[in-house]
Amino acid sequence: MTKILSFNGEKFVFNPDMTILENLESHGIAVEYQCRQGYCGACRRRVTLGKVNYIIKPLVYLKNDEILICCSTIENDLTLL
Amino acid sequence: MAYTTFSKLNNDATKEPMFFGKPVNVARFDVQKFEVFEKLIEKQLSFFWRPEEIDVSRDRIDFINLPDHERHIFISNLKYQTLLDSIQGRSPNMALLPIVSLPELETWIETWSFSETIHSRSYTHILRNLYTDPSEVFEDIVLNQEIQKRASDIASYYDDLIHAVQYFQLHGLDQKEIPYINITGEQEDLTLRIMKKKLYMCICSVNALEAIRFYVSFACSFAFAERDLLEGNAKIIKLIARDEALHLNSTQQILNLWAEGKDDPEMAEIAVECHAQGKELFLRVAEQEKNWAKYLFKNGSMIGLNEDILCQYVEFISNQRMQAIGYEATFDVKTNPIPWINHWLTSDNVQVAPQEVEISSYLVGQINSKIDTEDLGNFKL
Repeated sequence: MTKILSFNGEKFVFNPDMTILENLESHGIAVEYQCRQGYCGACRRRVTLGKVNYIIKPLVYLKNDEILICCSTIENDLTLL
Repeated sequence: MAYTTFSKLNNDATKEPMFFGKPVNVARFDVQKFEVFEKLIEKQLSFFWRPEEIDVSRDRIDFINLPDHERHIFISNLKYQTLLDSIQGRSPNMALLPIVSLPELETWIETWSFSETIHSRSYTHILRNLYTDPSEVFEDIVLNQEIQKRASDIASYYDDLIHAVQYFQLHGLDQKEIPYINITGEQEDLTLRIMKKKLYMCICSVNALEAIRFYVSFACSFAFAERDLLEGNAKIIKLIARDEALHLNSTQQILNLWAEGKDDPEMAEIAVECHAQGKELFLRVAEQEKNWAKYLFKNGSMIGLNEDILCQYVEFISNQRMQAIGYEATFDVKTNPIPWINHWLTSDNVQVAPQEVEISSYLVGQINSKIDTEDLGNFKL
């Protein structure tokens, strides 16, 4: 089933073989990142709708609506701020 | 309350706050109050590296050929980083170990400080290669006004806490016979809450140090390497930056655990009470680092980086790091003015020895001992 990633009002078909960060990069969207392994927190984003699955469990302190996009994929349609 | 290296009191550390609870006795890691510190230890250990693994011999030629103003930038940054890691290699141990109450946090503090000592050793490794006798550079660290300004600001929060805790350990909190004279020479009513406030401000100061202070230097080192200059140095700085991201993570964890009331309830109150002070501290650090950028570029900019861009970068990361600890973003910079730096800050690209070209983390195949049926929920036959 195709899943949709919405980011800053733009919508993309999500490629499940890549992380959210890689998906955004593949569409030429520059987002902030650093370690890409879930321990620095630079790619922290807020989710308004949907759920993510983590490939690497984040080590960073995250509030309820925050996720790391460098180490996660989407479980269902997801809206990111 | 005297410090004891091994308290005989029966103690369940999982019920203690992070700091100012019962002293840690048994260093056990099978049960943990905050598992994240154990994870940080594992991560930090998996990052282990030694400066001698990196060949910096080619840097000498690059350094000799640099124009004077770029040499000033390079050496000043090394001096500043040497100062920062001199402080960080000892101060978390000195200030935090006497008051920590969780074994996993205690060991994290030791692991953290130890990794800073590796950084200190790497500056000697770099400088030994650039100078026949690097004494002049090291000796200037305590003479250079620009560095001294920052040094006293960082050290003051640590020293204030250490001083109060030392009094507390010798005399307790009863000040009827021996008044507490604080580090600035003034009499102060020392209570547990006041010590906790000193601790809060100290962690805020360390957080700002790891969050911003290092990054002006990092940016310059990577900007040289973008021009294929001083690449040995950049490789070392890359490893240092990887460690620093972990250290920053740990102080963010501590501040967030306090602020969200997940640890000591009194610390949650103090986080609210000292919010303005904490913010002011962060902004002061940002200002100091912008002044540092000005000092670096006083004789001229370097290709790819100037004072304006570097100041914008300080503001950008300040916003990010302040939000990470629940403070509001203050500066009006929305995007990273030097996006190329992220390539240097990526963990995947860190190369240590030739045999581990791709894999920067040795620690693989760890076993999770806590498994219940829920973990197998996704299995289908």
